[in-house]
Amino acid sequence: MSQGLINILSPKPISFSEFKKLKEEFKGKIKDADSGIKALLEDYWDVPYYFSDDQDGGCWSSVRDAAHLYVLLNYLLYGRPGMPFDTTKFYRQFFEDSHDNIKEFIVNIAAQKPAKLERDVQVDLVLGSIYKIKKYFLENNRIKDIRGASTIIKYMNEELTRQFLSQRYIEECALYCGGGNVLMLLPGGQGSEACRQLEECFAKVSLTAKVAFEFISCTINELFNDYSQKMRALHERIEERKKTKVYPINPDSDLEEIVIDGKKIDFTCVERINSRGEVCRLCSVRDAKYIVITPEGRMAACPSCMRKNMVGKDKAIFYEEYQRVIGRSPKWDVASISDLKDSHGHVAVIYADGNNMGNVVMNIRNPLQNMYFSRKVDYTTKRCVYSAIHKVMRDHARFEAIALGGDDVFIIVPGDVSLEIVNEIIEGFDRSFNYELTMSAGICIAKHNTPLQSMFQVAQAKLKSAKALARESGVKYGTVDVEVIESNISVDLSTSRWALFPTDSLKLSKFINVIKRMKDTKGINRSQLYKFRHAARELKPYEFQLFYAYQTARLSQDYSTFVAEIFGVDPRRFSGLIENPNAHKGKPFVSPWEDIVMLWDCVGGGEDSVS
Amino acid sequence: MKVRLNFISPFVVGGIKLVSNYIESIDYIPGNVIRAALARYILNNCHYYDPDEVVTIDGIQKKNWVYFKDKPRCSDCKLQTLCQKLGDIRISFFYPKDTMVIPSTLMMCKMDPHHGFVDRLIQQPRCAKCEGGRGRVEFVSGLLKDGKKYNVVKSFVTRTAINRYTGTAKDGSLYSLLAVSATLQDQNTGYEENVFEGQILGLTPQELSIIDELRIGKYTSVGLGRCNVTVMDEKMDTPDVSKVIQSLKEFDAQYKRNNGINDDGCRYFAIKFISDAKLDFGFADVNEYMSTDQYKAVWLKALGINLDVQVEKVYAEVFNFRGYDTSKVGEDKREQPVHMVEKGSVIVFKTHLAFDKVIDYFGSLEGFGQDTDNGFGKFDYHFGGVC
Ligand SMILES: [Zn+2]
Ligand SMILES: [Zn+2]
Ligand SMILES: [Zn+2]
Repeated sequence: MSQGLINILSPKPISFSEFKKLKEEFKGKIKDADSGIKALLEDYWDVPYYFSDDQDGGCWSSVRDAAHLYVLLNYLLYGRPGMPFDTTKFYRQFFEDSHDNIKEFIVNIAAQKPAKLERDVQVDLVLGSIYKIKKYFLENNRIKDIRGASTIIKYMNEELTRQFLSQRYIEECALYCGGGNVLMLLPGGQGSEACRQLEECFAKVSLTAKVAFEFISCTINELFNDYSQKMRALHERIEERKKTKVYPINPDSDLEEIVIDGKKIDFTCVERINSRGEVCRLCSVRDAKYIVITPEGRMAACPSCMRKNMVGKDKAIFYEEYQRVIGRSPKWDVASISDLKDSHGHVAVIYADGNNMGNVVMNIRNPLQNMYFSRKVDYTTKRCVYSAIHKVMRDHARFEAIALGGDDVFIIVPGDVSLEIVNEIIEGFDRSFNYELTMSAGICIAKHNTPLQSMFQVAQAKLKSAKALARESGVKYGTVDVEVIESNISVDLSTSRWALFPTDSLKLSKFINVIKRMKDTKGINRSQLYKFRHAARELKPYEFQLFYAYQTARLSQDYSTFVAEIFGVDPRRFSGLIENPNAHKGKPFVSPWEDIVMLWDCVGGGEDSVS
Repeated sequence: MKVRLNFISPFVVGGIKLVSNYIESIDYIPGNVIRAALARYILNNCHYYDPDEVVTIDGIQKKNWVYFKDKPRCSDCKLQTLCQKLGDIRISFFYPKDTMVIPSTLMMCKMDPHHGFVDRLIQQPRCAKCEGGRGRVEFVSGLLKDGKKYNVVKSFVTRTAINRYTGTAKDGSLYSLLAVSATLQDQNTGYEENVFEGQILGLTPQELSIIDELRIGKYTSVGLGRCNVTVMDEKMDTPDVSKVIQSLKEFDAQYKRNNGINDDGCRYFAIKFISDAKLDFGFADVNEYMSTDQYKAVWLKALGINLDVQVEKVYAEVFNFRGYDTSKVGEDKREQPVHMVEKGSVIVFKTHLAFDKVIDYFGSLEGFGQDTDNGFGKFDYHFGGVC
């Protein structure tokens, strides 16, 4: 395994003496803790665990993961489903200096050496996936309904799954859960029933989210020594299920309430419709059974949309996380997309994900690496997004996150800070993974009242072209593409109308830097840039060059200096237009002013307050 | 007969959503959309068209309904036979010129789209053309042209929403249309065309050639969806049965080899949907757990196949669809929701029967599910790969 991959799949090494200090410190912390050990361990997810001072192998597990696995293996070997199991005892035992064969087993697994448990048992490896999530989110354009859908997905994926495990088994059975996926290791013979119960449970809550659970049976030794093959088999089974499964059209269940993060949402108080045959106004497909109250009045809603609507009435789920990471709450509680508009009325949908993720996953050799990697991706993505928002908007932070988990980013921010935020996210992500993994992003900027579904559609198309650039050019950095939807202008999604985009984050940093210097330069202003753009659209190239020469002689040579810098051309030879490198394919010149105006409007904002 | 639609303005078909202000056109045209356009054409040219007339069809009251009125001026009406035959003609889905539907078992190289496809049914899921021969692949869907994944050109149009009653702008909200504007676009010359092809059965070329211009899809009143209609040819080729059997045998052998099946007693064959299919799965609101094998049995039942075969594998996309019936009288123009199996879906069957029995049976089927007269539920055998 390459050093680069090892760095991604295991925590950064520390010195053994440093480790011993941390371990003593942790043992002190858990001395009096009863059941809180699991929570305390979360802070040690990125600290390597050394079983001995001469442990080699280069690939370590984290303290958290090693302890988890220790408890889980003990449970699988000695526990019984439905019977109480004292996880605290085994956590303590793990941190004691005594050796046992389970610790030995974990050492060997972590070091990627052959590992064998003397006493082997059958286990069921269960994989669950909530798929086509974006379709579930985007059944309509209303931010609160989308937020509700997003909250329900997160609730099922995390809280509900943990509840399920702690009621029947132990929570440690989950190797990971988040971003719509769950992987868990259960006692042998439990897989089939667990898959059924989890699918039923998820269907009962969300009604229309698409969910599949599958499992395979093997022994612990087989699983840990042939992990990638087992995972492949499991993935194949779940893919088959996804492609075969058919969902009811008008599902309903007798669920009366759900409790998310301690907050009860009651569905029994919602008004019911008596008449039959009315169509849900929120999804426009299913039969309505309820009346929900919206800012636009009373609306007939199906059971699924009613739940999204009720859940989404509350504050966005991602604000608390933002506060945990940044240390303060975002300034604005966004109630509608228009709360996010910049001084020109623009908002931006950012849709991003990691490149090359599949290649890393393909190289994962054991559950420890899997546990570490999925957590690292999740933490890194969130931290990068929140830090980027904070860094760019400071005290004026306002955003809406629709999906943020795993390597998935789907957020909405004011238009005039969108490019900087994207750039910060990508730089942070790429750096965290030593450029072994990079992130690409698609941005759609439009007036705040543009339907979200259209903006998402465009952002998705732009992410695709950004990813194509990352793939084809072999650049080391993450990439970005952007589109601006203006009213009554038609946009062709199959081609880029920019000279500078798609681009990579290194170049984008340069653009941003130059634009900011431009903004600090007296004598350069937005209306003049708009004039240039307009003239370049209307005039023939030589007419425009004359116009440009006259204007800049009168105004300032700074325009040429900056634009030439952004486009990487000689400022003395810059005549207002850029020579087309593909001149044989059409026009001899392209206008730089489309890009310049767009950059100007999407960089350097963040201080404007909402109107 | 094969029919060509040459669009002279972009079109929007399908996907209307009243609440969302966002309408994206699909990149193909179901037969019922063409039928509706023909009906509109007839009504616009009918001497006896009465927009308020209500007729009852199968117990449902309808307006704007085309039927032959057999009145004095009908006898010398140019559209007489079209008008008389409209209810009986069969119309297929129309697709962009020279394209075909990608079977859902195809996977494409993740690194380089030029590396081509592998078919999951008869090949292992990796790209042999990548370095080391183990490149990662992913499932693809949509349309194929010249062996490559194909996309129509769609244009984004954002407009201020107009209140349909007052004609004024609605509370500042916008709506967007994503319309199909070209099937072919040459960056160098700027040449563009927007041409779709399909089949219409039960009409003669002369009867169809009367139509100078059709208006297809939504927003036709603002100029979208204008197209010329031309007849390509009359005859349809019927496939050679022995060749089909040969291809089925080859697929069977390849499928067995790829999946390590060693059983001469059973045979495998696959079909692919070349249009969307409206299937009745029999459950509208039951939310009961079923195993993957139980779902396969449900598929067999929904397909309504009356032959000794089993469903072995399903590679399908199914979505819930609720259409509009604009001819319905009253405010409620919605149809009942149905399960729509997306074009490209592939189903693998296992049987002990000989292939000539299979061909006899499947050859007798018009298609699967409802609305086959409008091209829904059409299928072909799938022999693996791009074919
Ligand atoms: Zn609904
Ligand atoms: Zn007539
Ligand atoms: Zn390849």
